[in-house]
Amino acid sequence: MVSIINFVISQSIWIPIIIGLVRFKIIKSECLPFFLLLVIGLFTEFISFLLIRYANHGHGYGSNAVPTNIFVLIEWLLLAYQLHSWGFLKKRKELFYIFISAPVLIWIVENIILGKIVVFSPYFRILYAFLIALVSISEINYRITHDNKNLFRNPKFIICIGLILFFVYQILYEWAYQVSLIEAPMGFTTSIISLFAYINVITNIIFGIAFLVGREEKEFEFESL
Amino acid sequence: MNNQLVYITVIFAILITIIIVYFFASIIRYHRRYMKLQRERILIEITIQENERKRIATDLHDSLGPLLSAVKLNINSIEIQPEDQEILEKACRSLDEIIGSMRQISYDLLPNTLELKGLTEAVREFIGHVGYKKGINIQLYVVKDISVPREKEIHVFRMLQEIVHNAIKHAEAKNLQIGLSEEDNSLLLLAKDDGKGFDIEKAKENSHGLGLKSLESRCEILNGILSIESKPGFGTNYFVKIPMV
Repeated sequence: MVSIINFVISQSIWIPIIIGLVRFKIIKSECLPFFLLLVIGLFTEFISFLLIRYANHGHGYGSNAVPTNIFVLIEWLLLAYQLHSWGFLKKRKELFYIFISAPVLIWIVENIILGKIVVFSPYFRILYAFLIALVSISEINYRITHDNKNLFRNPKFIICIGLILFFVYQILYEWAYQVSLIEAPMGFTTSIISLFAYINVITNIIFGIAFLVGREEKEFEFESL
Repeated sequence: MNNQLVYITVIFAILITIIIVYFFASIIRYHRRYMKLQRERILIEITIQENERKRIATDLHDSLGPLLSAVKLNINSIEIQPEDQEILEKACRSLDEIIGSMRQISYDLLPNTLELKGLTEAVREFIGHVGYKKGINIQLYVVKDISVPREKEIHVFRMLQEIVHNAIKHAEAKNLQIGLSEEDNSLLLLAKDDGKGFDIEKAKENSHGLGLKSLESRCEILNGILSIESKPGFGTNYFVKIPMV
């Protein structure tokens, strides 16, 4: 029952996807990697649901650890690329490649070499959430100090707000999850874990708003005169 | 088990703290960058404005001035009937007025003395000029010989012009004291008038307070400090400190 409720809640990802599809022409120039991430996220949710519901691992339910672990790697790559395309380390390509590769190496060590792909291992998840939150903060602050237009009509600004909310909460979630593995789940750790699904809904709505408020940037050419 | 819990909690608390600290550090960094950019923009705008003033002043002084003098000379050399004498004199007087006005405009745009003799002499000339015309008693104290870099001279001069202008037009002052000095590689400019004073906060809020904004902008691009003390009915004190290096 819980898995069905979680699955239904996770379907809020349709909100930004539908808005994104309707306004694809507008968002494709600036937010394509992010939109792609949402679509991959949707597929991952489906696969996760099917695995949890139907793949029996001998204790009554299946694990979605493998698709989730693969998804977080894709999420990291696409988000890092998206933030890079918005200006993060744009003039320092080498540094960006190091920045993007370091967590990937940790993912390989954690998931492939140590073979933790079948469980929810925390190191990569915490690291990439932490890095995305930092870069999003940087992007938001850049927009606050440099953008002289209405920030709430800027999809980059709104998406970054959503990313900060989501990934800071993800760090909290990981903490609660690790604590619950050590000790019997306490009231507030259980609350933090269960609230994650609702945070996901809120961020999906924020992403939807970001796609909704995006404006088409007109390209001026001599031919249009 | 308990130690592990504390260990995990501390690590996560550190991560959250880093995020919060980074938020503030990042906004301060971008704000500084933005301020630097703003300063550069103001400097470019003011430099363009000064260059344009210089060009117009030079054109007026070097091209139009001699031309008008030549016209006057030619008119004077015309042999005329006695009945036309009055008209000719009137034309000559008008020409003199035009030449005088043109010199004044040229001077207001950019005093030649500033280019030729430097800041102190230009200030002396300006004060003498204004004091005589506007009926205000201006006293200048140059405590030490000051050497202001060429590119900064025009900004200091404009600030001084603005202070004098404020004392005459807005404060309706009868006396104005100006002190110039140099201390620790910085130029100090002090001015005190006995005018009607004003509420600084109100003047800053008022969009018409362009003079104060101009003072602030010029001080900002020179990396200087500007302090204004004033109260309605108690005159105004200006203190400006500008690094010379």
